[in-house]
Amino acid sequence: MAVSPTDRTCLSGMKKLFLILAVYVLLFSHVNGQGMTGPEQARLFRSLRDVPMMVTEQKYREALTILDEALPVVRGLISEDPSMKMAYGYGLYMKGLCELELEDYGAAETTFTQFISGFPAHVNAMKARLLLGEAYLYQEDWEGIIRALPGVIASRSATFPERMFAHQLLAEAYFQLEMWEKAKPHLGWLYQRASDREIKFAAAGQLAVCMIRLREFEELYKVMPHLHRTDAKYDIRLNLTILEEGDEFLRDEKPDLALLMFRMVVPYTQLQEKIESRKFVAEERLERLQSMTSGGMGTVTKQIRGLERRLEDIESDREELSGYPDYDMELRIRLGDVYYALERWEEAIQLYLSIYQRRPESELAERAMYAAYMTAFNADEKIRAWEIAQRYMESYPGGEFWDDVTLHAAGLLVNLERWFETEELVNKALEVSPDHVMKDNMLYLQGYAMFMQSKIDASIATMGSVINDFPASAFRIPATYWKALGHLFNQEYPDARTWFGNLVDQAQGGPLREDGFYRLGVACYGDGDFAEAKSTFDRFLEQYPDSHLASEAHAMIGDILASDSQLDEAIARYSRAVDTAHMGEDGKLNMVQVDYATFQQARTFELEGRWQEIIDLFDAYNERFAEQELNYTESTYWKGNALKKLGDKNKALQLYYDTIVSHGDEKKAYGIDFMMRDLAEELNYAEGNQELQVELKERLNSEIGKAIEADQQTLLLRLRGLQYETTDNEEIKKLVKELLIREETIDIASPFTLQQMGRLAAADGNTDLTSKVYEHFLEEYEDSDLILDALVGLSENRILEQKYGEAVDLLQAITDRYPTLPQAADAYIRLGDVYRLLDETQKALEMYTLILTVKEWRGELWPQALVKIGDTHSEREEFDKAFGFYQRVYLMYQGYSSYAAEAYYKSAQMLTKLGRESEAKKTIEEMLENDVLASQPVAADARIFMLKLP
Amino acid sequence: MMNVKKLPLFLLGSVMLSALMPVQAQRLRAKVLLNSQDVLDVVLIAPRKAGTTNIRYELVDKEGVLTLSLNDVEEIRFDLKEFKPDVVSQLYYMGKYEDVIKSLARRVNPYLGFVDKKSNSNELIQLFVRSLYKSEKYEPMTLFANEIEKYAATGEMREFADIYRGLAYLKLGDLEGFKPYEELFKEADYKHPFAAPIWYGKARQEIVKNNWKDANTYLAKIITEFPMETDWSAEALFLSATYHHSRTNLVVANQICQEIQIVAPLTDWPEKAIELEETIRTQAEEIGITLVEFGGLREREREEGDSKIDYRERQRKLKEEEAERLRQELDNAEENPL
Repeated sequence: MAVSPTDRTCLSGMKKLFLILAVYVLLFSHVNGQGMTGPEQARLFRSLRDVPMMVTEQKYREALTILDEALPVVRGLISEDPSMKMAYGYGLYMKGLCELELEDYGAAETTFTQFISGFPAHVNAMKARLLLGEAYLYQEDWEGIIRALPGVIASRSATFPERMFAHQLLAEAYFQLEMWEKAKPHLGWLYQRASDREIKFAAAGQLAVCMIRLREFEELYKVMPHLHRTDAKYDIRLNLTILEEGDEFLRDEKPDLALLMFRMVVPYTQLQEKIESRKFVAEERLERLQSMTSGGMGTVTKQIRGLERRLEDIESDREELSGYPDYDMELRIRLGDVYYALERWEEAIQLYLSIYQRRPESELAERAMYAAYMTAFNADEKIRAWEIAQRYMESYPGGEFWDDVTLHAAGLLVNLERWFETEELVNKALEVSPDHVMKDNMLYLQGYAMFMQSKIDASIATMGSVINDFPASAFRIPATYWKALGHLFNQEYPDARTWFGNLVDQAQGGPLREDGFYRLGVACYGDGDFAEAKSTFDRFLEQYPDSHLASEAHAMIGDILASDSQLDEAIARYSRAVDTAHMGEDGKLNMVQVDYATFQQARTFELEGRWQEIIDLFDAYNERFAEQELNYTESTYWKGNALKKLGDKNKALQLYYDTIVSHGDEKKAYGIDFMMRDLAEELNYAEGNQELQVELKERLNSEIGKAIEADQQTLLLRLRGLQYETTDNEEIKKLVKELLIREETIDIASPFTLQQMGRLAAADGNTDLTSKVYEHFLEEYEDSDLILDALVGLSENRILEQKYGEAVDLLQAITDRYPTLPQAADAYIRLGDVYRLLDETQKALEMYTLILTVKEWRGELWPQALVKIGDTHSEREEFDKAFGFYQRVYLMYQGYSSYAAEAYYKSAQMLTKLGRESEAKKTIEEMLENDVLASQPVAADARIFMLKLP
Repeated sequence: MMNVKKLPLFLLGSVMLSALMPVQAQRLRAKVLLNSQDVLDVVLIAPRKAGTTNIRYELVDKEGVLTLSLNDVEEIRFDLKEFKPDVVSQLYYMGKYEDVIKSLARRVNPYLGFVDKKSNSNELIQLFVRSLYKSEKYEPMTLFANEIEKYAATGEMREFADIYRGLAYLKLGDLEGFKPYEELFKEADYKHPFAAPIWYGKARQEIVKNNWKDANTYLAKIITEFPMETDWSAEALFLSATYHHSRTNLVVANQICQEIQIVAPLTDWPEKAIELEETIRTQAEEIGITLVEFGGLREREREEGDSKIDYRERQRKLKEEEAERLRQELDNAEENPL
C-alpha cells in the first residue's frame, strides 16, 4: 500500500481551515502595528498578511520567501511581545506546509519538528505530526514515521480521517521495515474500517503478506477467500510474496505448506491484464485532467500529481512482475510437484497435463508431460500412463525424455500384457532413437513380447541380438534364458540344450538359473536323451532341493523311469513329487504339481492293473489334501473306475451318483462330466443287467426331482442331459431336448451340457446357437477335456461365415492341444482347406504335408492328405505335380477305394490338361475295370469324362 | 424447451414461495449504456413483462415516463448499494445461505426482467439461486430458475439456470430427472464461466453411479483450477477425502481433512472434515498407520497444551462472530437503505 498525496485528501479540508485561521491570526493579531518602528518591518508584516492567500493559491514559493524573511524577525520580537509567539507558531506551520508542497521534504521535516517541539499544545500540533509523517514518507524514513505518529493514534482528539492517515503511514512504515507483527494492527484497522475500497483492499493484501511472513495460515485463510473475490488478489507484492514463501517451503521439503501458498497465487496472465487495465484507466484519467488544467485549478493539479504517482506505482509493479516472466507454467509444475509429494496423484497429473493443454509450445510442456506420465506410472494407473506416453511420443519424437518414456512405456505394456503394442513401440522407439540409451533393455522387452505372441523365431533372433550386441549387458543372462526357452518351444532340443547349458554355466544363481537348470533337463528329455535328462534333473535337485520346480523334476524322473518300465521306482518318484509340491506364500499347495504326480501314479498302477492301490491312492489323496483345492471329482472318477475293474460296478455307479449329486452343481467339476459319460453308457448298455438299469433310471428320476426342488440348475441340466442320452421315450427325448437347447441356459451349463447343446444345435442346423454355446465354452472352460467339440464346431462355423482368420486360430488350437490325436490331423486338413480359400496355397501344402510326417496317421488320413496336395497343385496349375500325387494314391492306397477312385479320375483330368488324352482315357478304363472302384460315386463322373475324350 | 420434472414437495422451503410472488411496480435507479456510447442516468420501472423487449423508464431529474427497447441496451449498472453485495457475498461464502436468502428474497425479483442483458444485478440473482441450491431448497430454486428462463431463453443466465436445475436432480440422485440437462454437463474448458459447477455435476453423476474413481478426476479439476472458490473447492476437497478414505488411503484422506480446516475456515466443511478426521484417526490407530500432519494444524494445537480451546468450538465461535457482524451490517443497510 503506497501512501500517496491523494491519501492526504482527507487532510485537504483541514488545511483549508488552518489557512483561514492563519489568515485571521496574521491579519488581526495585535502584532499588527504594535512596536513596529521601521518601514522594513512594516513592509514585512504587510507581505506576511498575504501569505495565507498565497498558500490558498498554491503560490508556495512566494509565500516561503516571505516566511523565510519574516519568521526570524517575528521570533526576535517574542521576548518583547509574548503575543508574537502565536503569530510565529502559525508562520512556522505555514512554512512547513509550503516546504512540503514544494517537495523540500528535509526542510519540511525540520520545520515541523521545530513546530511540534516549540508548540506541543498548539491547535495544529496533530496536523503537524501527520504532515511530518508525510515528509518522512517521501524520504522513506520509516523510523521517523514510527517516532512521529503513535501520538496521533493515541490522541483522543484525533479525527477519523487523521487517525486513518496515521494508521496508513504506520502500516507502511512497519511493513517496509518488515516488522510484520507491528504492521498487522494498523493494517487490520484499515481493512476493517476504511471506507475507501482502494485503501481497504490494499490493506488486506498487505495484511495477508504479514500473515504469510508470520506463517499464520489459519488467520490468513480467513482473509484470503474474501480477498479473492476482490481486486486485492491482484496485489503484485502479495502474489510474489506467496510465490517466494511457497518456494522456500518447497526447498525445505514441506509440500503441505508450499501447497497452502501456491494455491493462492493469481495466474500471471491475470495479474498482467490487471496491471494493463489499471494503467489504461489511470492514463485516460490523467489525459482528461491535463486537458482541463488551465491555471489556478489547485484540486485538479493535486489529482494529476496523484495519478502520476499511481502510474509510477503501476510501472514499478510492472517492473517487479517482469522479474518473474510468465510464472504460470512454472507454478503449475511446482503445484504438480507438491501434489505429487503429498501422493495426490490425480491433482498432480491434471496440473502437469494442463501445461501441455494450455501452452504446448512452452519449454516446460514436455517436462510436464513426462512428469504426468511418471505420476500415472507411480500411481499404478497403467492405462492412463500408457495414454500419456502415447501423447508424449506423438508430440515429442526424439525429445529430451524420449528414451526414458519409451523404456518405461515398453515395461508398462509388458505389464499390461499388450504384446503386439510392445513390439511396435520398441520398433518406433529405436527408429527415432537408434542410439537409445537402454537399447539392450528395449530389445529384451521386445523379444519377450514376441515370445508371448508365440513369435518364437523372432523372439529367438531378438534375444540373440541382446546377447551378441551387448555382451556386458545385465540383460544378457535373461535373454539367454528366453532364447533357450524359445528353442525348447520350437522343439529345437539341441539348441535349447546349448543355451540352457550356457545359462546354467554363466548365471551366478538367481531364479532364471534355477528355472533354466530344470528346463535343461526337459530339453534333454525332448531330445530323447533320457539318461542325460535324468542326470540333469538329479543334479538340479541336488542344487535346488527346495525349488518350486523340485516336484516337477521328481515327476519328470518318474516319467523317465516309467517309460523304462521301472514302475515301482517311478511310483516312488511320483510320491516324492507329491511330497515336494511347492507351498506358496499364501499357504496353498501347488495342486497342479500334486495332481500331476498323483494321477501319473494312478496311470502307472493302471498299467499293471493294480486297482486296489488306485483306490487306496485316491482315498489317501482325498484325505491328505482335503483342505486344499483338490480335484475331488476326477479322483472319485478314478476310484469308481477301479471299483468297476474289481467287479463292484454297483458300488462304483452309486459312488458316481453320490458324487454327481454332491458336486454336480459345480460347473467346473470336470470329473462329474466323465461320470456322466460312464453312467450314460451303463444306462444304455448294462449288458443285460436289467435290474441295475432300472435301478439307475429310478435314481436318475429321483435326483432330477431333488435338483428341481433345490434349484440346482447346473446339476439339473447335467441330469437332464443324462436323461436325454438314456431315455427310450421319444416324447420325453423331444421335451428334454427343448429344455437343453435354450440360449438362456448357456451361462449355467457345465461343459458336459454345453457339449450336448452344441451337438444338438448343430444337428438342427442352428449355427447361431452352436456358435454361442461354443464361444461360451471356450471362454469359460478352456481347461476342460471336452473342449475339442467346441474347437471343431466353432471352426466349422467360422469357415461357413468366411471368418477364416478366426477359423485358423481355432484349428491351430486343436493341433497345439492334441498334437497326436486323429482330430489334429483333421484340423491340419481343414487348415489346409482354409489356406486354399485364402489363396495361400503354400501354407496349405505345408499343412497337408505335415500329416504325412506322422506315422500314426498312416491309415485313411495319408491318402486323404495326398489327394488334397494334388488338388492344391492343380489349383496352382502345376498339373504335372498334381498328377504325381494322385498317382501315388491309386498306386499305394487301393484299399481306400473312395480316395483311390477320386485319385484315378483326377489323374485323368490332369493328363488331359497336360495334353495326354490317350493316357487319360487309359487311366479311366483301368479304374473302371476294378469293380470296387467302379462302384464308387465318382465313377459316374469318370464315365462321362471318358466319353468326352477324343 | 427442456421438460422440467417436478421435484419432491417435501423439499419446498416455506420462505421461498413468497419470494416468487408477483411484485408491485418498482423504480430502479440505474446507469444504462446504449449502443456502446451513450450513458443514460435513469430510473427503470420494473417488472418488465415477460416476452417483451420494452421497459418503461424516467430520466433522472426530468418528468415523464418514456419507453426504452432493451434491444438497444448494452449494459445496465443498477445502484445496488442497498443490497450490500460484498456482505451478502461474504455470507454466502461462509455457508450462511439462509441469511443470503432472507436478504435477497423478493428484493431481487424486480431485477429478473433484466437477466437477458449484461447487468450487475445478475450476480445477485445468481447468488440467490446458488444459496437456494446450497441450502437444498430445490423446489423453490427450480421455480426461480424457471422465472429466469422466462426472460432469458438463451444466453449465460439461461445456461446458469439450467445447470443449477440439473445439479438439483443430481443431488437428489435422480438421473432420470437430470437427463434433460445432461448435454450441458459435457466436458467444460477451465475458461467456461460455469466450469466449477459443471465439473462438480460430472463428479456427482459419477458418485450417483458409485463410480468414485472417475468422480475424483472431476473433483481434482475443481481443486486445482479453482482452489480459492471455496463454495466448490471446499466440498470437492471433502468428497476427495471421502474417496481416499473409502480406499483406505488414510494418510492422504487425513491430510485433505486438515487442509479443509485451514483453507476454508469460514465454510461449513471444516466441521465435517473434523468428524471424518476423527474416524480416520481411530482407524489408523487400529491398523497401525502413522498419519502425516498437514500445515502443522495439530502441532500448533498440541503446543497450546492445557490452555487450548476445543478446535471445533473455536472455529464455530469465530465463524458465528463473523456472521453476526455481517448480519448487523445487512440489517443496518436495510434499515437505512441510502
